[in-house]
Amino acid sequence: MSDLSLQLGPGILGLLGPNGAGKSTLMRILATLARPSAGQVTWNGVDIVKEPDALRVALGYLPQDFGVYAALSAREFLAFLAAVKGFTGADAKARIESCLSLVGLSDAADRRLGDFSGGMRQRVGIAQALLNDPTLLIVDEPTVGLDPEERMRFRHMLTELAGQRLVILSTHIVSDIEASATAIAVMSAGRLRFHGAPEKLLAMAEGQAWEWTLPAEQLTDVRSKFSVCASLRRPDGVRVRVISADRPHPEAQAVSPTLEDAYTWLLGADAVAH
Amino acid sequence: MAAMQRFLAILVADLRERTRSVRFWVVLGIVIAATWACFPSVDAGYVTVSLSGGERGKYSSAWVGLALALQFCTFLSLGGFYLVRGTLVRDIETRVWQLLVATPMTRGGYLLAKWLSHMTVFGVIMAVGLLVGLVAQMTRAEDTAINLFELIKPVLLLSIPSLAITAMLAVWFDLLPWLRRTAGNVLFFILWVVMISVPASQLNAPTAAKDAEHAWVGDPSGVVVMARELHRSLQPQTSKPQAYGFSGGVRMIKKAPVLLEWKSWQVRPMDALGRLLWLAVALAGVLLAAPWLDRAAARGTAAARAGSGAGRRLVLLDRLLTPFARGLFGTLVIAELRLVLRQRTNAWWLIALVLCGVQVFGTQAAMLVALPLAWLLPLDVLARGVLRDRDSGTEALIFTAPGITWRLLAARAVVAIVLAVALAFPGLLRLIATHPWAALAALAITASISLWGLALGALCRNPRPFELIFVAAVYSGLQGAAIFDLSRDPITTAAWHALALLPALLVLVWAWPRLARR
Repeated sequence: MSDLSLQLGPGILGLLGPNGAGKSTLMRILATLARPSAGQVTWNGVDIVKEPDALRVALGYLPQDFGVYAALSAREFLAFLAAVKGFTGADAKARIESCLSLVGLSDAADRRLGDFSGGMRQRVGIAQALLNDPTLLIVDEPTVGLDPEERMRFRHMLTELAGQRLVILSTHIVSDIEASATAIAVMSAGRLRFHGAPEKLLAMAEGQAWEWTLPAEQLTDVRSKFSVCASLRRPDGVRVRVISADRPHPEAQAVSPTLEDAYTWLLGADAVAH
Repeated sequence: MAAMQRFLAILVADLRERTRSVRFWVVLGIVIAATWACFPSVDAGYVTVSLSGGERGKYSSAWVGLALALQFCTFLSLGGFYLVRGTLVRDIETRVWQLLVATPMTRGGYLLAKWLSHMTVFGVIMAVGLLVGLVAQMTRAEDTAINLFELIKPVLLLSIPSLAITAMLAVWFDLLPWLRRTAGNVLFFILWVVMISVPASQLNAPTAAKDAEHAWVGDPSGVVVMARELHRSLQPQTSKPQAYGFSGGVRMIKKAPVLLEWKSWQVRPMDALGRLLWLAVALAGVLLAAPWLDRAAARGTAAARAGSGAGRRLVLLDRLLTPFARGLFGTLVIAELRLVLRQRTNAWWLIALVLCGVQVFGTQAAMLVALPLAWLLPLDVLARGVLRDRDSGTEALIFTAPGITWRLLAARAVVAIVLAVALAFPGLLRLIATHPWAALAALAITASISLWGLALGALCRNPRPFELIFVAAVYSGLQGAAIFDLSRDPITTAAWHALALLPALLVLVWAWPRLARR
């Protein structure tokens, strides 16, 4: 990572970028698990590289990939992590029950984690991240491996949790943040390419998205020439959605860009520039 | 042809994975240093492979080959197991196995490739050892005639079958789920002791001469064959009756050793056949494992582990521990203790009960045997405990908690000590009543093994070195070595173990934060 400067406040920040963009590295630095080789990360004015505990007391972190103790129940696992985070006695119990309820696991709390599905395990991950009622919640690629229903449930949960917290949600799936992010940061090749409100990104991509229907046999040709965001097979051909600065086809009609379009446009423009 | 390509692909990938680790090169460095130390000069004050009177052969190519073959048959066949094992487990746990299982690869071919990969690692170590041995021969210049055939012959005939058995056992121990971790590491040590000592015990029997002649078939390690050959060739040169035994380890001497001629080893056909048979046994053992592979791999999944007997609710124990869960540190210690105890199996509790029973009701001698075994019982909590976050993938959840690094280490040290003390508690009570100094020594031992377990685990980032060292130490203690002596000179034992705490703490202070930061 290099040349990256961000100042963040309460709200949901959607951190977007292709695989290998440096999102997880940034997440690990922000979560005090990795140290930057240069630069500074501050939390309320305190350098977290020098004083990581200043952030850790306020931090909830859900890593991209995490393990659990398969022989423990969800409640026992959370009790262990509550002790690790410094919660004791009745306070810890209350926090555990509250978090279990929040993620909808109260009924399954005494089942072994080894028997949990991927979605339930992910909810345990969220519950542990919320144990200390964090002011900063970092979630890294949280919907990978989840089925559509679980993914939807997760998005709703995150929106509800936001409140006065700062939630940093790292993903390469634009739809994960479309409905909830109050700000977006886009990274590629270790650099920050955009930071601002989603509307600003949408405005930047205005006039770049086009749609038309073409015969199926022309799809390969169009794909080789343009950045195709979406294609939908229909009885009369294939409806394609393309990112292009100019009208890509005489029949193409300009459409309002979605966040996915804007993100694709930004990465495409970035690739051209570099 | 395709099968051969698949076989080679598995072999090459496995070797790449191994040789690209720092551990492999550290081991090679140790092999170079140890091999050089195997051939001391006449005035070094010690000998390695020698007869009972301290005599040894001149450093000819044949003697260097034989001495190295002995080291490979014994020490490499022990340490090598801990070095090479784990590749099957890695494939299963990293789910690479799930990718392989969907290919036309045969189970036998896969296991043979793993076995051959183990043997290749051994081969590299032996080649490096022989090279250093050759340099030692030239440097010491007791016999400068180079004879590569005589140098390599003992290694080919004695060491390779012995190591083939070790490699086969490494495959089996990775295959069987209950032998994949600490229990397997302990059991292999016992097996190794049996494989070496049972055939070697023939050499002390009144019928030693006759037994040694027929040793070709019942001697997997080859030490009896070697002892007989040494006896046959060297006894006439010493001009005095020699026992069949010989020393393979370091032996201190006050005067220069008597040097004997050992120009070549005349291999008896039956010995060569015997060694080939052991090689065939190893190969057959690998192939016999093939039908079990799918079932064993399926039992390595997290879901299967969750369904195992471990993790039973321990309601009574929970009630017992809850009052101690007070304050920031106490709560963490109890949480750690609960976590550790949750993972105990019924067999573990049963063994603990038996050992406690022996400490209470056994004779003094039986109690002194039960104590080191009781310390051995929580072996997986020590070096493996310090690596638990990495192994379970929970490090990102744990090390983002405030002030956790040292608090967690302290909690784990307390848990390790508490567990070791609890398992030895009846014996400690008896010692306090009868031999207070011995009780003090036992407490010092408890603290030192706990801290060294954590320290070596954090330093090596692998539990096996400590597990091997500790099991070997317990074995030596049971054989009468002073390391855990509580009856002859407990004050010295207490002093040494108390002194050992400081370096263990220093290692921990250096290694633990680095491990936690990864």
